Amino acid sequence: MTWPPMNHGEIDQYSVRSRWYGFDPRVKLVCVIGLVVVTAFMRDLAPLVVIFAFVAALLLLSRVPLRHLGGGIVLALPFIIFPVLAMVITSGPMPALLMTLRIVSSIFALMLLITTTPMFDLLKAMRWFHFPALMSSLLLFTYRFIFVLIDEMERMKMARKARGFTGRGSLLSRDVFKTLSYTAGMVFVRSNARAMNIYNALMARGFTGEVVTLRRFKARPADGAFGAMFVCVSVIAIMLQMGVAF
Amino acid sequence: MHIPDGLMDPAVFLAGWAVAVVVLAVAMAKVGRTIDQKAVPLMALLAAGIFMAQMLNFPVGFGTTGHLIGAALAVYMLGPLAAMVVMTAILLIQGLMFGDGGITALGLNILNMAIIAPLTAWGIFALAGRSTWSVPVAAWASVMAGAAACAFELSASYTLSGGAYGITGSLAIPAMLGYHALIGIGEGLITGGIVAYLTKVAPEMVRGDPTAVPVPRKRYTNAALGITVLFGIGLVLFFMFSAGMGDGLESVMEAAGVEEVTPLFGGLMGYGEDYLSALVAGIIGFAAVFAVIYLAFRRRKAAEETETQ
Repeated sequence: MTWPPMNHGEIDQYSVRSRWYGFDPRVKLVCVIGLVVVTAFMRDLAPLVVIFAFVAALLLLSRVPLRHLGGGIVLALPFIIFPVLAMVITSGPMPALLMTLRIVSSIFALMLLITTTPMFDLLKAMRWFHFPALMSSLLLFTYRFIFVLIDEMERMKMARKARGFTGRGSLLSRDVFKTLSYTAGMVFVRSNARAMNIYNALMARGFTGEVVTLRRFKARPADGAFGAMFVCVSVIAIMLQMGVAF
Repeated sequence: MHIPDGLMDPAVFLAGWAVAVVVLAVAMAKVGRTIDQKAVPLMALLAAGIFMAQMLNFPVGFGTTGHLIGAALAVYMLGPLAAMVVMTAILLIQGLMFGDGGITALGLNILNMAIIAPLTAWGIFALAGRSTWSVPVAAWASVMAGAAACAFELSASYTLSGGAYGITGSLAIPAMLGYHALIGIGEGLITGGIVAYLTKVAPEMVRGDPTAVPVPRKRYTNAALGITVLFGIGLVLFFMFSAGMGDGLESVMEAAGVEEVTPLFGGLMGYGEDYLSALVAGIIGFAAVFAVIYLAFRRRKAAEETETQ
């Protein structure tokens, strides 16, 4: 049986043609994490608006389609809506607005990093900062296997659907849970064989557990400017928060 | 329960990072020493599988759905320490590569889903053995323990920041525990189903796994685990009880129109101090439990070494 090759939307699928692709992944990693940490400490409107405008502008300029970015927000929605509603009730609309800005800005900043940097460049940058080897090879394999599993899962989902399975019911629906857990179990069994093949193929090609990509990291003046932008925005936000200036 | 950035008070997420880094460093050092390179793809397969399983929605009823967390499954197949590493890898991938869960909140997410949940499941496996009924129970308890920790962190954030971060305890605790009591049933059913299926179809994936850490059966480790499980259950009950009490008391007082009794509560500050002391107690309790487990591990290892000599 022929089957279309794996063509799942990957989070970094637009990274190579984005405007921020050329910048050093190490600089991007540090900048984004730094900004997210600064954002978490902000509790006034002015600094949060500055940070939000900055990351939103960078995202709009990134050439990554807005629909692709939307996916990231959708994942976090339950954990935005419930706290914000609770906040409106208990603390009033203003703290709720501030918390929304904080959460959304942080997600935007992370999206900026992960949609404009290929996954393996990001892992290599983490390794450069002495991220543990065991964890990074685990991440490397896991990331690859996810798409192998999605492939298996899609195939079985179609087979399930063809046999009339809809997934409707409640916690009392015995047949639904039987089908779902058998599906999950079967995914493990099938993928185990495939995973071992992938691993043996990697070993045959000289895999040592280290992340290797063709891209050489090189910090250029432009990377310095990119970093300086983040530092400036962070400093302005901190000063606004502490009431030092403006 | 993937906590995003910007929701938690800085003091709470810094505490979460501190605990997560220490526990993980120990777990990774142990796993790194005992595991060979060939086991990494197996761990990664399970990580990818649990990642996928978290995308598999099951019906809860009333039109809502929930998804698996998978901590108990990881413990069953890999043992507690490797399960912690695998769960952390999943959270890192979700945070760094899919934007689900934050960076500053990652410490707390690791604490809830990659440390507390697997430890709870492990405790139940160690006490009750790996039987057909202990799997769903361990899965349910691991979800509840994780949810309780998450609710606790939300309410601690709210109180510590004076209402700028987090969710107030009277909303967060019943909502998180109530919803996850149901989610946990789904988790228990599916985990039990997966384990039963794998035992039947591919027993080599479940039994005789070289990476599986054997469940300890020594008396003192059982005692330590008993304390951990009791602590976990006690925490959950305490929250349910205190949340219920608070609401009940307030409504009773409102109904009776007793306004002058309010100072007995100590107002907002007294309430805050209550939660602060609860937070401190919680952290100390967790550290104590962790120390007990760690020492139990050390002693067990020493005992094994003397046996082999």
